[in-house]
Amino acid sequence: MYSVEDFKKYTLDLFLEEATREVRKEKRRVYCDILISYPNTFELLPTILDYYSDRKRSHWTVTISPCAEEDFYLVSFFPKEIETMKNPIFFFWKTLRDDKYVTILSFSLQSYAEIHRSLDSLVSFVKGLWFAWVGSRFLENFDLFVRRVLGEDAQILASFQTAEEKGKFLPRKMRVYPLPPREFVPLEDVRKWAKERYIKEGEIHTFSNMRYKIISEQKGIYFTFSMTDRSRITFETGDFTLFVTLLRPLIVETRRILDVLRRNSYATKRESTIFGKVIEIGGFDLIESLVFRKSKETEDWFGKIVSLFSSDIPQEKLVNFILISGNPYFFVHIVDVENSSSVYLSATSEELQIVPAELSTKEGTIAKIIELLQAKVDPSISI
Amino acid sequence: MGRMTPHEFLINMMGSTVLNIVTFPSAPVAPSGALMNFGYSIRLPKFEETVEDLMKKRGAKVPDLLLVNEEEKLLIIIECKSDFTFEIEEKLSKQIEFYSSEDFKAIWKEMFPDLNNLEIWIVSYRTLGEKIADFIRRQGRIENLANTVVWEVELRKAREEAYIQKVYGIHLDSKLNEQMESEGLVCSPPRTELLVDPTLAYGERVFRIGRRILSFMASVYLTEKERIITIQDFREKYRDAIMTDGELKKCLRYLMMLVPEIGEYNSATGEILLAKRPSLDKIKTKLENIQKMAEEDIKVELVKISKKEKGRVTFKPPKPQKTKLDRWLPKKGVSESSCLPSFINHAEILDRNDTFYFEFA
Repeated sequence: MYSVEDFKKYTLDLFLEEATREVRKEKRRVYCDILISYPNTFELLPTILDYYSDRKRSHWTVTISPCAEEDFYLVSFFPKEIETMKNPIFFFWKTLRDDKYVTILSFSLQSYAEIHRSLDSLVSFVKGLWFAWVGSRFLENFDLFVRRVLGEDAQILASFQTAEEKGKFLPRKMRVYPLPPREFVPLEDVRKWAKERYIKEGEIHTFSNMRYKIISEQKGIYFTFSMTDRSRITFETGDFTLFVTLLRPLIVETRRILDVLRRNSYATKRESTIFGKVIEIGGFDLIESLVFRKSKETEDWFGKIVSLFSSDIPQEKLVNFILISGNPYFFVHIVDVENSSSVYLSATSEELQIVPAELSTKEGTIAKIIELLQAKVDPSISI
Repeated sequence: MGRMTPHEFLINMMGSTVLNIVTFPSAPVAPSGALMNFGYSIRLPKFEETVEDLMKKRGAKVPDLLLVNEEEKLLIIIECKSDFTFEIEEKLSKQIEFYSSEDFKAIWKEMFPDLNNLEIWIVSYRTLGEKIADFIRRQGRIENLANTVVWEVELRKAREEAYIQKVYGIHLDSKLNEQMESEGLVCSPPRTELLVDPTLAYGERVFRIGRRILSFMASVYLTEKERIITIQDFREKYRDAIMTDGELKKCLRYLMMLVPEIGEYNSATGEILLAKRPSLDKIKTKLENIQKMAEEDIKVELVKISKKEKGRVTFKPPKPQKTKLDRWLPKKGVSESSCLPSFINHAEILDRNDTFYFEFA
């Protein structure tokens, strides 16, 4: 039985050793989530956690305390209702900082239900803290990414966990289609199947969770794990310490994606006078936009975009105001009332542009729009 | 439906010719920022009431867009015309007269001391270009008429591009003049919407500000403070809001009275306290209704709302009756009064700020 004080003596290496031992001997799973935060949000986290803990609706009192290594923290969720005799939930956070974001690698060895309930609740509460988005296309092309890291001899197999068709969640019996349950196949086959279905039937499949098996005899690697499009990983078998070497390039990739998702507009402001009174004169130096070109296979690209954004999308908390809907030019102001952000989206029969409507876009808003475009317009849209 | 009017489209299209939109990951079909190659950039000055009043007196208004070319030391005034009726003709004549005047020269010289010359560009759709050019030719009577150029825009929908041609005048900038004499300009339709149009109908202006206010909403608020939007917050987020604070406050007041679902408004400070769980459907419908309204319609609607509020019967809980003793007793020495003991049987004496009050039990 470990105490909080024991956990505070941990370093990342000690935790990894412990996690590997637990996976091998106790057949336990390691849950690893990549979280992103703005630096100022992370600095304010102890205060934010106090607010969170003080809420009547919160089931836990949450604390963050440093461990024996720099940038390594213990995040503890203590249940408020002691009579239920529930155990506290512990997360170990390794943080990596740069000027724009703090990337948090969150590890835990407890049960899936406990971890997801507690961490999901916290992330949905804290503005400026979110699960890193990688998207369905990344899951589908995960073998290409792994081969770049582990070499060409690495064998990567996948099994469906959950799949969506035309934005709708498929029932359980359909989730493993066209593969038998729990059977692993090369990702090339999955892509081939998805492409065939798209070309023949016009069906778009997006994946929100995939289970992978990675084998590299040269490097002595044998991993089984699953990953979601929000980079939430459940590690099942293998050497977890070795697996962390794969996490590093994954973090680099999520960081690259963040730079794409955040589009800025650079406005200037200078002062002048009129009749001796000081006035402000603004200007725009640069506006960054995100452009997607229509793929060859996509049919009715323009029509699909128009029908997708012509009305509000309440489940995604997007309120859309059409500004121009000509032929063939479409211009819409999309307000994301979940993330306090808005963008302009313009489309022609050949391309689509997303431009910030304010100083910069929120990463979550663009990720949401890209997910919608992947699921409803063109499956090849990717960043 | 929130659609742009032809006038707004022209303004935003001209704005897009000077916006440096950098695309990622691939190149767009048509280029944006066509005028940037010639050294032009946009300026968004927040004109104060004094300047606006001066312009109003002279029948003019704040220009649709202001551009500068620092290399050529040029200030460009852009006026977009999507229609050309007799009233517009008259208005344009006054505008050109004012922009050419010494009064306006004093203003822009103070604002942009490094610039030497002013040029007026009148931009319209293809069908109106010649008509406006004829009108400008007839303006010879205006003293010291500023150099004026007329452009016309043709939208080639099949190509998804806009073609701009010069139909009248010679640009002071020789490079641009050469370009306009030969090929003209090709540009993309607008990718962004600027909140710069001073001719916007009131409903449209309130609608646009309302849309921008919506973008402050979040699904979760950590503290009450996060729900407050100040004028400064709005300006920080939307740098293209060039109207004065007074004008912005007026729009916000109208907006919050007509769409109370957004939250509460403090008219003294101009702060908005966003509602925790707003009804977005209602907000959107109301915003779109406002868009169609003229300022008079908005005012009528506001009067209706205020009448409703006045007519509303509210039941307030009765306040405990308080009686000031000094009203009942001679001012000199309450304690000296002989009738005090008879009151004490029915009331409790409370000492509040050296004044005696009775609260009846």
